[in-house]
Amino acid sequence: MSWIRSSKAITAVVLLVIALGAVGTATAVSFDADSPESTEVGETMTFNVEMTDVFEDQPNEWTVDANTELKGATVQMIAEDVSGEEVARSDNSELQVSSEDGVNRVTIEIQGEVPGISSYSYENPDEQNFKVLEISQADGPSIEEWQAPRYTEASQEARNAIESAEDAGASEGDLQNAISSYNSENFGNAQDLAESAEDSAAGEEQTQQYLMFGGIALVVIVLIGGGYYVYQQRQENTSKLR
Amino acid sequence: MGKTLIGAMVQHLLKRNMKLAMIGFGQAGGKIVDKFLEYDARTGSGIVQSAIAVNTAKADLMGLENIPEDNRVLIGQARVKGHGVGADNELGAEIAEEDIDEVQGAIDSVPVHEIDAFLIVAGLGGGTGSGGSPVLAKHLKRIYTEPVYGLGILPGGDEGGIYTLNAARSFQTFVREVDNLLVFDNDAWRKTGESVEGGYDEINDEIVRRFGVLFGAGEVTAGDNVAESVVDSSEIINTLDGGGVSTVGYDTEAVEEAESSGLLSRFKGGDQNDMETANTTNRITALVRKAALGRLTLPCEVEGSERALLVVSGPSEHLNRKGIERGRKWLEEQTGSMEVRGGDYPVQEPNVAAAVLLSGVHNVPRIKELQQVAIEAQENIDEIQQESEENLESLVEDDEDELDPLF
Repeated sequence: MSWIRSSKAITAVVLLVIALGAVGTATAVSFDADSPESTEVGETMTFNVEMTDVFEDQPNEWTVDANTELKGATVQMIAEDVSGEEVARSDNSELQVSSEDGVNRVTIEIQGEVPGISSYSYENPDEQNFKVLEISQADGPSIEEWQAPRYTEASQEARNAIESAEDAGASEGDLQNAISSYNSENFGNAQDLAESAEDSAAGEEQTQQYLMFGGIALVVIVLIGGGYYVYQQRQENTSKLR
Repeated sequence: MGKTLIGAMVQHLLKRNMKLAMIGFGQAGGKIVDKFLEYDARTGSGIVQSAIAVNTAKADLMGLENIPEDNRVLIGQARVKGHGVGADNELGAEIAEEDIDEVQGAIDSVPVHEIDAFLIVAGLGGGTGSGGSPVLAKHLKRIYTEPVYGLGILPGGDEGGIYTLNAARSFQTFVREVDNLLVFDNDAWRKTGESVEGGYDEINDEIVRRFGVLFGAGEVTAGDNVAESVVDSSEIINTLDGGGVSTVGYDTEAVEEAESSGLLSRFKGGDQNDMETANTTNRITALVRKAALGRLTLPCEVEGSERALLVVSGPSEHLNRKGIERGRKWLEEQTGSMEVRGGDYPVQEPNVAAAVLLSGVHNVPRIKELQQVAIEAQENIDEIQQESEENLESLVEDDEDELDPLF
């Protein structure tokens, strides 16, 4: 191996290590929030986020934009400095923060009604999620987003029914019917279909159980009968002479 | 080695056991043939090629278990409507003669080329079998070249005069019509104090066993040891050939079945072998004596038998030529006949048995006694019949003859 070649390799490794180090040390704005819970459509929901390292990887002065799909949402954003003193506040969806103000922490509280669901999908429940909160730079890139599942009473009941039918081992065809009803928002029908699929699955299971017991009983009878036959054969006098 | 194998094969081809077409006539005959089939199936003997039951009583035919339905022939329906002839053997004979074609119809299904002989089995004391079997024997002898043998069962002495009379008359006719009549006497086998049903069952078992061993001789199945001098059907036929009346003696003894001769026995001295040979020989001669002098199917004097056949059966290691030869010699001395055949019939079971067939016996006190009782019964019946009219008259008519009949 030539020396020149090997030095090129070493250079490449060194560059890679430096690049990785740069990525590793570059930190972003950090958020502290509980992940939002699944909520029924029409219910009021409150969501809190605490934002720290506000200027990491951000300009020294930028506008926090809180975006949501909650209906009739109210947003409250409070910026505090290191000592916990309020340095800025906003009751709408935008708050300008500046490092000169010593902004250390921003708390965001958002409250609103869970919006209705436009399209349902049993297989991909994520499609039914809605955006609870999205933090972005105003007119800039999105920084963080929280989504939450939502449901209506009817859809949830239908989903539960289908899930329970699935667990009971209902036939694929029956399940598909129920799921297709669910996806076309015909929840009552979906629930009925799922329940009947579950019943027939249970019936089948019972039939199988009966068949199994019947089979076992048959085997036992055959064994006993065979044993008796062999016993009889042994008892029988096959002697020609006596 | 090759020689023995070829010998065995030749023996296998030439010698075989007797195949019989059995016809059970009447109640007792049907039951015994039924038992023969059971014995055949149970022991794998293969004596019965075909089995037919003939009766005038429908109920008796229905009670059979092993004879195929198609081979159960009900005769005399026009005369007795399936109710039997009620111990009237003259009526039995008449019906047999009238309906012989129906019996022949069943016999037509018998592969006659495969059989060695016909055997007609009948109780001689009753009606149907007693009367019909001589008729059938006559018919068969006229049509077929195969020998026709009879197996006649004599009634017990306590069964009543009418049965004895039936038996005596049937016996006379049956002997005349068959090539040989094998006789079994219930009187000699009845035990006191046993139920009629159970008693007959046991007797029938005895009949089937004795004749089963006799007719089964010569049977060689795969895996059996081929005997030194196998008895086969031709020897039985020749023994029965001269006609007359035959009886069978039988005795059996349990033996230990052979342990496979391993290394150990090879090291054992020759003395032991000689001892064993002597034992085997003695056992066989003792069995032959007991069989011939013990209970015969028809008790009679052995002396004066015209022909005899000795079959010794058992595991082949317990059979030897010397024993059989001695037994045969002894039978020659006892019967005074030079026509005594003998051989062995190897079977794999822990018993040794000797069966002695005495053919052409003459000195049979039991038959004379039977005839005596029959004559008395005949006279008694005639007497009563003669008196009967007078007695009835004296009962019906008044002393002074004052009454007039209505019309």
